[in-house]
Amino acid sequence: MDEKLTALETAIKAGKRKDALALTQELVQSSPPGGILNALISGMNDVGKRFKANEIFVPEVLVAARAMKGCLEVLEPKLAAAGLSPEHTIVMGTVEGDLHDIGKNLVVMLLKGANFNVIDLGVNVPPEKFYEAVKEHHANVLALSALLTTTMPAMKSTIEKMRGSDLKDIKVMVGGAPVTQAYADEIGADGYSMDAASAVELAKELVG
Amino acid sequence: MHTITLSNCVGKNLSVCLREHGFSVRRSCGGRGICRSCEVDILSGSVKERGQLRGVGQRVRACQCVVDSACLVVDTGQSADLIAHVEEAFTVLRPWPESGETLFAKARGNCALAVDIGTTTVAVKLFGTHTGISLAGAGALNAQTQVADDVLSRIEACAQAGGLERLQSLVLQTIHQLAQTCLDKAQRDWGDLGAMIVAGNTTMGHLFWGEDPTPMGKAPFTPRFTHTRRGDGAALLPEWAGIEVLSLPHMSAFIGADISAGLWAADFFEAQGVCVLMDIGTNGEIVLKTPQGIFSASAAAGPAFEGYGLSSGMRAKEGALESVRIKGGHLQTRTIANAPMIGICGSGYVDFLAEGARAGWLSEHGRFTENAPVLVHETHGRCVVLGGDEKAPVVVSEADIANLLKAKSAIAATLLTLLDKATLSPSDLDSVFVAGGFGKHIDAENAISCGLLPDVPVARIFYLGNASLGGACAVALDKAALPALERDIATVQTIAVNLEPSFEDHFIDEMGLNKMGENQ
Ligand code: B1M
Repeated sequence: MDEKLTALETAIKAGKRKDALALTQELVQSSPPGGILNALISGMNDVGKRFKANEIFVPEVLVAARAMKGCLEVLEPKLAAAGLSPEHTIVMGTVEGDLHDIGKNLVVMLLKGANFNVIDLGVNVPPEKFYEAVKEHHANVLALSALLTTTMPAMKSTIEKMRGSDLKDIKVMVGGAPVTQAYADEIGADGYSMDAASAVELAKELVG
Repeated sequence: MHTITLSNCVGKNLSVCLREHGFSVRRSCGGRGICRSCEVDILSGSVKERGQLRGVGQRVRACQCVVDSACLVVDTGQSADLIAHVEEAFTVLRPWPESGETLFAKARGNCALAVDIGTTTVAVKLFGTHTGISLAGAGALNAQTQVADDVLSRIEACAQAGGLERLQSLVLQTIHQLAQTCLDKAQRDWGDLGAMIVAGNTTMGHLFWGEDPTPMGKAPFTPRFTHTRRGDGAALLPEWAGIEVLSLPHMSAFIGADISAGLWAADFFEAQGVCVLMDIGTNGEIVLKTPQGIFSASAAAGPAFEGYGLSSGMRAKEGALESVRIKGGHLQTRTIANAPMIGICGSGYVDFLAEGARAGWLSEHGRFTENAPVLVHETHGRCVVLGGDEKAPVVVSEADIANLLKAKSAIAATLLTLLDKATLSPSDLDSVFVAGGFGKHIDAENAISCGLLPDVPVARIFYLGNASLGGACAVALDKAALPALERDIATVQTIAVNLEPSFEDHFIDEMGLNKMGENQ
């Protein structure tokens, strides 16, 4: 059994989605879901680390994340059935007016890989929807992504919406190619991260 | 080495000052201090880079600097004209109309000007209104680059007071000067110029007429107008009074009149079988004709293949590495005009990717293998040196390759997603029309093998050059053309590829060094 778990971890690291999926499907028949999750997490953790150290780049991380995504789809119902739920919840989405989601999806996968419960609201998400989701899911962190110069102001209005509400203390993190630390400071975000791997570290800090 | 002296700029942003001094510094990341494309060396004086004092001998990112001394001298490394490649040449595949009435039959004088307004460059052609004979051509950097580099940043600039007026006036001035150059070359006067036919992307079209482009900055990306517009030049510039100005129709916010004109130049709607027009530029527009319909999308590739944001990227100019072969583990390189190598242009990068993969220097994910002569450079990281000298080596780094693969993948994934709409694959394409300056110089076999162009016999690939300019001329020479073009482009459907479930998968699959669609 341990061998299979190691093989799963290796398949995630190498982004072999078919192998990873087949192994997960096999493992869920007999193995406790928590152990399988741990294998996925340590695989993804390694990917995140190598990405951060510039040993691998976005293409390889995308491939690994996609492999992980397929496995999680199989595993999540089992985890829920076993009553295993992550400690912290993050609501994430691409802001209003913006339809880019590949980077955001990657951040979502790495966060899941670090055992966060992530509520992904998709793209083109208006401030009200973020507010409602944070409220509904009692989220600890709100994560906003924007890829266009022209939609960065929507991050600002989302933060304003939160700060002017009963959820004003929610920790907000922002990111996306055009976003900078300076912009994050300007709009009153609690944190900015440059890439998906640092987003995970930031999220850990924000809930820590 | 290219030095610029700035005086009396204390307190101002360095990249802005450089632009005001006519040097169009690159800012691939939009001035956010990320890409290093605006780096300059300080030769005299000082600046504050993010609050830190920097002086002589230091290399700084211009976009992050505030000028600190009354006199500042910087070395920008290369001169401004290295940055923008103005493509004036074009090939019109459509049969040239032989006789009959032309579009501007009633215009004054006997010359007309075709104008291609590109985001980076503007190209014009002066021709006989009725004869179609080319009289003169000219090209220049679009003066709007003083304000911002890319389309979205220009749209953003219009959200500020006076932004739209400033951008409109800058582009009109650019065109005016180019028109003047052509009239001088052809020994004509303004009175001889009776008409102007304009093509450009949708944002450029809006800025030309002074229409607010801001609704195109966010989803649902709605243009203020897409139709053909005409008017007297007096409404634009007083000197243009009496000139009939016409701009060609756009298809959507990100498929503009430059592509409409290109389709006309390619005779796209009459072409046999399944065909595609690809403009391999920052916005990567693609139009695909299939028996199931005509689909278009913009691939938003970013400017990597134009050399932006890469360690040694430059445009196709003297000294640019344009061809690479790796034979028996050895590099064979050729630069334009065989001049000493100063950088790498798009065709050089395409060659390096394909040859590198073939020679086993690059893994399928675009990483250097142990076979490659890799070196770790302090600023560029893991890279291979292709030329230059110790002080200014010409390199390709792993980060460069990741950027190129991302741009390539955006283009390939967009085409594959459109092909999916008609359940076709790349090999089903009967004709591939490549628009833009980039296409002409690339080695088609290599572009195919790294997946930038679809895998079809090279005889099915046609290079159009500046198809926007060519199409505009062709439309002007035939009165029947405009109504036909308007009718034809109305049949093109714009596809929001992000809403297509297959796009993301294709985007990930195409990030490798494989032929297009090979990884499916
Ligand atoms: C909360 O905390 C965090 C922390 C970190 C976070 C974070 C949140 N979110 C992201 N991160 C970070 O982590 C990730 C991994 O490290 C990183 O995410 P990234 O998203 O940066 O990286 C991803 C993993 C991979 N990268 C990407 O996915 C973006 C790649 C490029 C090529 C790109 C793509 C793929 C697309 N695009 Co778009 N697109 C471009 C991009 C150009 C380029 N070469 O980068 C860019 C972003 N696009 C642009 C544009 C303009 C557009 N796009 C559009 C559309 C598209 C596609 C649909 C074709 C597709 C998106 C598909 C999708 N489902 O997302 C258009 C919209 C039209 C429409 N109908 O949607 C359109 C608006 C117009 C056009 N020309 O087509 C440009 C923006 C320019 C600007 N100044 O704002 C652009 C830079 C290309 C260019 N022309 O130069 C980090 O940013």
